[in-house]
Amino acid sequence: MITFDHVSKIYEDNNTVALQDVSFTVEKGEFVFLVGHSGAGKSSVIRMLLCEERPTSGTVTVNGFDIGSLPRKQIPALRRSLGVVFQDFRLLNNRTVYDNVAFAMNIIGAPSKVVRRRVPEVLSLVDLAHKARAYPSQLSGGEQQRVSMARALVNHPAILIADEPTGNLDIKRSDEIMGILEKINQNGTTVVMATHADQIVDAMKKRVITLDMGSIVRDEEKGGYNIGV
Amino acid sequence: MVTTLAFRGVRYYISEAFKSLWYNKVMAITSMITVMGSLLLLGFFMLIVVNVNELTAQIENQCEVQAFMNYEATAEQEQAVFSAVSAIPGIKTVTFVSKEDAFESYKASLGDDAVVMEGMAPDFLPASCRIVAEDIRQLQPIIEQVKQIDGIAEVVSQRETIDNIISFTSVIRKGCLISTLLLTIIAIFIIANTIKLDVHARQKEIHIMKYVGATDWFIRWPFIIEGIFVGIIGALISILLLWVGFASAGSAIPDFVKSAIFVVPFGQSMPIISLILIAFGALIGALGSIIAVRKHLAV
Ligand SMILES: Nc1ncnc2c1ncn2[C@@H]1O[C@H](COP(=O)(O)OP(=O)(O)OP(=O)(O)O)[C@@H](O)[C@H]1O
Ligand SMILES: [Mg+2]
Repeated sequence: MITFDHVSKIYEDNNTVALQDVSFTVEKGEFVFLVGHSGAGKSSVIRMLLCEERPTSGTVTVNGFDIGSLPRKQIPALRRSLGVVFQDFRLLNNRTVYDNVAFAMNIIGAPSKVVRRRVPEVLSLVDLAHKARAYPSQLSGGEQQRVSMARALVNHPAILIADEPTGNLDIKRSDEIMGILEKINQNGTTVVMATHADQIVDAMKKRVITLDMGSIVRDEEKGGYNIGV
Repeated sequence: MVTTLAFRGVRYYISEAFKSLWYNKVMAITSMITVMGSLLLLGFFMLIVVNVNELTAQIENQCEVQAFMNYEATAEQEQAVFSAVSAIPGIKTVTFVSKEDAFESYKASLGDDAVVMEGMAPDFLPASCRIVAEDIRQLQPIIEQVKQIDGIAEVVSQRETIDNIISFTSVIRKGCLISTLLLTIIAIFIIANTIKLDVHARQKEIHIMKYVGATDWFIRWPFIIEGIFVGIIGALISILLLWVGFASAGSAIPDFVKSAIFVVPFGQSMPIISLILIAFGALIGALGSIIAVRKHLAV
């Protein structure tokens, strides 16, 4: 699903080495946490999965797309095979919950019949069927994040990528999000999640990749949150 | 399948375009007025150029050279000169004007004052050839050749006047072309700026669209349709104003002045000019939008 092969990333505008010789593989159906101090390079990995950034050296492959050499025109195809969730939800405030989710299907040209069937389905998966007509500003942070997860899931992505999805949420709301992530992972979707939430990582007993100053310092099955001091 | 998909896409783009026009009413109206202003001037210039072109063509067609023969020439010599002139290439028509013809037409031109000519010999004017060139630019070489012919006394042309008119009309044409070009560029940038504000307000939306896997064209189309719509409405208003303006000015101007200004009647040139203005409006709008969205697509 995902391979990083001796990947380095240097941001040229400030000469920051964000990743250094990073190699790992994620298989289909895995659940992987990316942890590390602030600035360790978690978001850099995430952005490369989305082809928002490209590796300075080494190769990144995601769902068969070679990120280093992916033509601009192919980027939409890559992103349609992924679902993305961010810390700040990134919802459209002038659209209802329903439209925020339907919008992701309109973009790929899904027939309206399919949209009308699939959107309620995915809204009930995140337990928000009753809020379909609400606007994001009328929802709590946890609810907004669930809308953003519904949007990420609506097109049946092979991989769900989340960058600190619980960063703005309290522990109870975070648990709801994690419950949904676990559920969709059990249904076969690969999940990659960057996080600072130590309790969550410790409780989930999933694979944990620890980054420090741009390098992988640990990669453990059923690991815990241990980023050192 | 492909067509239904395309159709659904088009419907989506159009509805998005109109939603955003509605959200940005004030900006949309501002751009419409800008486009209208530039197209109004453009239409006005086109009317001028159409008329100037037609006028030039008419002058070029009427452009005549008169070659006078020696006064003493006999009728046979006159015929010989006429044949020699007729043989020169590049001539459209040659008319032989005999001494008598010259006398009559001179008399006719004097009208009531023709009495002064009473008692004058009917052959006091020399015979001549009236020459019309196929092309105004061949006139000078023709004149040179006519001068070489034995029996030609003098060649008279309105060349200088014509040269003046032609250089004047070409200045007008160039002036209109340059102003049009400038106006078009200005209009494109003003539209681009207006749509840029719109794009800016929807930057977050564009980014989200890109994260979800929207193609650049999917994002661009609504903006382009928006721009084309603004451009076409601006064009329609400018056409209306041109029409109303000329109709009301037309009734104020006396007919003989009108026929001098409107070599090509307004009703005859306006349909084509309207089409060009609409096409221009659409083009300006589309280009403005493409410029406006360009920067925001690099995510
Ligand atoms: N677009 C960018 N341009 C320049 N430097 C950047 C850019 N993005 C990140 N960096 C730098 O690269 C390094 C890694 O940043 P990254 O965002 O990947 O860290 P992170 O692990 O996600 O941190 P956090 O936990 O704070 O989100 C940092 O030093 C950061 O300053
Ligand atoms: Mg980060």
